[in-house]
Amino acid sequence: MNADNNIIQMRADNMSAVNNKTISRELRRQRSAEISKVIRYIILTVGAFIMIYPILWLIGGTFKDNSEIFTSINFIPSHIDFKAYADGWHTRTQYNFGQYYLNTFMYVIPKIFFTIASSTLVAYGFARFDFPFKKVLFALFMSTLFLPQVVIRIPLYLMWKKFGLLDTYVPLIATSVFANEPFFVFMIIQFLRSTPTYLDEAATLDGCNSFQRLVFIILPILKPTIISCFIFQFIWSFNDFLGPLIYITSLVKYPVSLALKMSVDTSSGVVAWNQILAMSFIALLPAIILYFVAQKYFTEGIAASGVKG
Amino acid sequence: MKKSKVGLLYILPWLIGFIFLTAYPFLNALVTSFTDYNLIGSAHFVGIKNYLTLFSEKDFIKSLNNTFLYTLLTVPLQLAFSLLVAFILNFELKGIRFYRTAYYIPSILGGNVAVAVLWRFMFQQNGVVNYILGSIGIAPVSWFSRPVGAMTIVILLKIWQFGSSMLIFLAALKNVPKELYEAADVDGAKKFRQFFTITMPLITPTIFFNLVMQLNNAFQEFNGPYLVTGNGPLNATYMTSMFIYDNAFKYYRMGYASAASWVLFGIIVFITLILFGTQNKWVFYSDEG
Amino acid sequence: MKRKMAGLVAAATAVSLLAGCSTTNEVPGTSGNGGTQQAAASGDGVQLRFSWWGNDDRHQATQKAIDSFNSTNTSGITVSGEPSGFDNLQETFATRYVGGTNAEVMTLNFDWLATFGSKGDGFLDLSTIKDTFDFSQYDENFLKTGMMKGVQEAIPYGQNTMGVYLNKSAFERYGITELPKTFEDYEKDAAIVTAKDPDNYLLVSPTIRFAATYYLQQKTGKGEFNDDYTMNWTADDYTDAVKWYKDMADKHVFCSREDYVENVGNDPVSVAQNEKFLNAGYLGVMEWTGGVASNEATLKEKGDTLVIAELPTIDGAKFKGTMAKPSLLLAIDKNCKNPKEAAEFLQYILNDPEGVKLMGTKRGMVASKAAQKILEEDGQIKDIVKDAYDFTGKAEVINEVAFFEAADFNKAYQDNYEQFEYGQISAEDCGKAIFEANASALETLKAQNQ
Repeated sequence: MNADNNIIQMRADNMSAVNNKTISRELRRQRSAEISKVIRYIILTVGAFIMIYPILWLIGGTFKDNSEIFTSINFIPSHIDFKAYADGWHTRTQYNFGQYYLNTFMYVIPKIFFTIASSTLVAYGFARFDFPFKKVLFALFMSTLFLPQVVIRIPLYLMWKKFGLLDTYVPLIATSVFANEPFFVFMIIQFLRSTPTYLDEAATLDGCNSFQRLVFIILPILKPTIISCFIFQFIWSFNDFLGPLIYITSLVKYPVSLALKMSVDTSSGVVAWNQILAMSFIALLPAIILYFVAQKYFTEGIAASGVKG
Repeated sequence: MKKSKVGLLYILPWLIGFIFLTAYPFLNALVTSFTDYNLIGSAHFVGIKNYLTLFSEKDFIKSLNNTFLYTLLTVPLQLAFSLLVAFILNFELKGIRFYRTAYYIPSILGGNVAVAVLWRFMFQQNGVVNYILGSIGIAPVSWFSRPVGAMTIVILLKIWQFGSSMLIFLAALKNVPKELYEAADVDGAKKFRQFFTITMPLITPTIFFNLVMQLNNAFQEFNGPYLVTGNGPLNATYMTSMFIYDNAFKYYRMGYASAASWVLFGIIVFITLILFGTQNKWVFYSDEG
Repeated sequence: MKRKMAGLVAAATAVSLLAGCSTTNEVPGTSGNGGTQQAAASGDGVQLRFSWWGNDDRHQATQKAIDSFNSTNTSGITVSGEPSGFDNLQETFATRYVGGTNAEVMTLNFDWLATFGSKGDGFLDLSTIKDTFDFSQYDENFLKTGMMKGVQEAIPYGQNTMGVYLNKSAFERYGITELPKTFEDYEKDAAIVTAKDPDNYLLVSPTIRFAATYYLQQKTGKGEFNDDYTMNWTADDYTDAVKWYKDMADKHVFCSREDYVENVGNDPVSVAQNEKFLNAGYLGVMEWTGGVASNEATLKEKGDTLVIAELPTIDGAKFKGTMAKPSLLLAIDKNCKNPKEAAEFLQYILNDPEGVKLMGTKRGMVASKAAQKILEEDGQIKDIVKDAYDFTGKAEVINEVAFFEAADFNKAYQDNYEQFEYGQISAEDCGKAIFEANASALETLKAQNQ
C-alpha cells in the first residue's frame, strides 16, 4: 500500500515535473513566438516605410514650392495649403481632370474586360487542348513578347491611320480584344497548368462540354489569377503614356496620363511642379485603393472555391 | 489530351489579332532591317549591311554587355526577393493587408517623377546611402559618376520595383491548398522547411513564368536607366533597348534600329528556348499527372 | 525559297509605299467619326489645327489667342489647339510626320527643320503666303535660319542666344561684389570659392559642347559648320577646345563632366530643377536665353538673384561674341489645303497687336519687330526678360546652321570628352575623334540630302 502510495506519489511528482516542463516549454514557445512576431512586425514596418517613402514625399511635395521640392529629401512641408490640388484639378485648359479621368476609364474599363475574357479563352485553349500546329503557334505566341516595341510603332500607326481610327481609343483597346498581350495569357496558362485535370475529366464524364468546363470548373479556380490580371491591366493601362500620346491628339479625349505630363516642359519657363505632384498623387489613388480592396478576394483564394487539390 | 480542333477555336481571338496587330508590323520591321530607311526619304535595300555594322559598333557591343550584366544580376535577385516577400506577406498577420499594399507601391509608382528625384537624393554624395555607409566606416561613394556605382543604382531600382512578380507569387501561394500544411506542425523552422518541400514544387510553374517574364523585361530594360542614370558615365548603363530607341527616334536610323531589335529578339528567343528546354527537369505541372 | 523572296519583296514594296508615299493629309479627328472634311479653298468652315508644346502658362496664353482669333477672324476659320508637354515629343512628331497626320500649323524644334525639311520640300514653301504674312517684320539674316536649300520653310519665332548667367547673391556671400568679366576674373573667383567650398564650380554648362563651341568660335572667328555640310574647325581646334575645357574644369570655372554626371545627370537638361544649382553649388550657368526665366524664378524662391553676365572673351579672340539659333519655329504642313488661312492665323499670333498681346512672352523673346514693339508698349517685357532682350540686342552672334543640333554631334562631344576626362584617351585622340565623328555625320547628312 505504502509502496503503492509511494509509487503514486512518485508518479504524481513525475507528472507535475513533466507538466512543469511542458508548461515552461509552452511558455517559452509562446514568448519566442511573441518576440518573433514583434521582430516580424518591425522588419515589415521598416520595409514598408522604404516602400512608401516616395508617396510620402510626393504628398509633401504638393505643399512645397519648386526650389523646396528639388532640394529636400524631407517629406514634411513648411506649410500646408491645398491650392495646388484645386489649381491642378481645374487645369488651365478648357477641361478639368474630371474629364480626363472619364476619358481614361473609357478605354481602361473595356481593356480590362477584354483582357480577362480573351486571355482566359486563349489560355484555356493552349493549356487544356491539343490541336494541330500547337507547338508552332505557341512559339509564335510567345515570341511576340520579345521584339522591342519601338520598331513596330510606326508601322502600327500607319495601319491605324489606314483604318481611319487615329484619335480614337480603338488602337489602345484592340490588343486586349485580341489577347495580343502574351503576359496575361501566359500567366493564366501557367496557373491552369498547376491545377490538376481530374476535375475537368470528372466534369466531362458528367456531360459538360468544353465551354461549360471553362465556366464551371476552370473560372472558379482561376479567380486569384484573374484578379491579378485585373490589377495589372488597370495599373498598366491607367499609367500608359506612350500609347495615348501617339494615338490621341484631341485635348477633349486626353486621358489622365497625358494630362499629367502636358505641362511638363522645363524649356519653356516655370513648371508648377506642386500641381503636377498633386495630380499625380491623385492619379495613384485608384490603383492603390483597387489593390487594397482586391486583396480580400485574393486571400479567399482557392479554399473558398471549394476545390481541393 | 487527344488532338482536337476545339482548341483552335479558343485561341482564335489571338490568332486573328496576331495576323494584323503583330505579324504585319513584325514583318514590316524585318524588311526594314534590311534597308536604310530613315523616316524621311524612301528606303533602299542594303542587304545585311545593318547587321554587319552593328557588330562592329562599339556602342552596340557595350550596350549588349551592359544588358547581359544587368539581366544576370537583376533576374535572380528580384526573383528571390519577390518570392521571399510573398512568402512573408502570405501569413495571416493582423494588418497584413496594409503591408501587402505598401510593398506593392513601388510598382504602382513606375516612372513617377518622385522616383527619379528621390533616387537622385538618396545616392547623392551627401545622401542617405553614403550616410549609412559612413556609419559603418565606409568612405562616401560617387554613385552616379562611377560606372559600377551607376549600374548598382539601376539594379537596385529594379529590385525595389519587385511588386508585380511578388503579386503573382502571392496569387500562386494562395492557390496551394491549405490542407497540405495542416498535417504538419507549424513551428517556425519547420514552416521554412515546408516551404521548400511542399510549397516550392507546387508553384514551380509560376516561378517559371516569372523567370521568363523577368528575363524578357531585363533584356528590354529601358525605364530604369532612363529615369535615374541616363547612359551613365562612360555609357555604363546604356542598354540595348536604349540603343535601339536612340537610333530609331534620335538619329532616325530606323533600318539600323530594326536590325538591332532583331538581334536582341534572337538573343531573348534563344535563351527562352533553353529555359523551356529545362522545364521538364524542374517545373512540375499538375496537368501532366 | 522563291516564294519566300517574292513575299519579302512584296512586303518591302508595301513598306516603301507606306513610308515614302503617305501624302494624303487626313484629319484624324474627323476621319474616325465620319465628321466634316476640310473645306477646300477659302470660305466658311475652314478647320485648322495648331500644335505646340509648353507649360501651363504657354498653354493658357495660346488657347486665349486661338479663341480670340476664332471669334474675330472674318474668313470663318476655326483653329483648334494641340498642346503637349516635352516628353517623347520628338518621336511623336516623327511618327505623325511620317503618317502625314501632323497639324496644319505646327511648332518645330530647330533640328526638326534640318531633318524633315532638309531638301527644301518638307514643309510648305512660305514664299507662297507672303501676301498674307508680313515677312518685313523680320531681320533678313535671322529669317534665313528658317530656310533650307533656299526655301523659306519655317518662321523663327525668336532668338535663343548662348549666355552666361550668374547667381549674384552667391558671389556676394563669398565677398565677391564685382561679378567676373574676363576668364581671368573667373579663374580668380573660382580660387576664392573653392578655398571655402572645394566641390563648388562657378559655371555649369549642361553639355561641354556649349562651352567648346563658344571657345572655338572666338578662337577661329567662324561657326562650326556651313550650310553646305562642310566644317570650319580642324582636329587640332577640337583638341585645343577639350584641353581648354579640362583646364577650366580643373580650376573649377566650368563644372567637370564627372561633377555634372554626379549631380545633374547624363543629358543636357535645365538646371532649374537641380539641387546643386539651387543650393548655389554652381554659381552660374551657361545656357540659351530661353532657359533663363525659369532658372531665375526658382532661384528667387531661395532668395537668390540671377543676373545676365557680360560675355567673357578668350585671349586673342578673332570674334568677341556668342552663338544664336531660333528658339522654335513655326511651319505649315506641305499638304495643307488652306495655306492662306493658315497664314492668316500665323499673321495673327506673330504680328497682329491683339494676337501678340495674348501670346505674350510665354515663348521667350520674339523676333518680329512689330511684336517686340507691341509687347514693350504693353509692358509685358520686364525683369529678366527685358535684360535678356538688352543682352541679345548687344551681343554679337554667329547663327548656327539648322543641323547644328542633330543628335550625332552632341554625342560626339559628350562621349569623347567623357573618355578624355576619365583618363581613357588623350586630348589629341579626343579632338581627333570628335572631328572624325562630326565629319562622318556630315557626310551622311549630305548624302541624304542630295
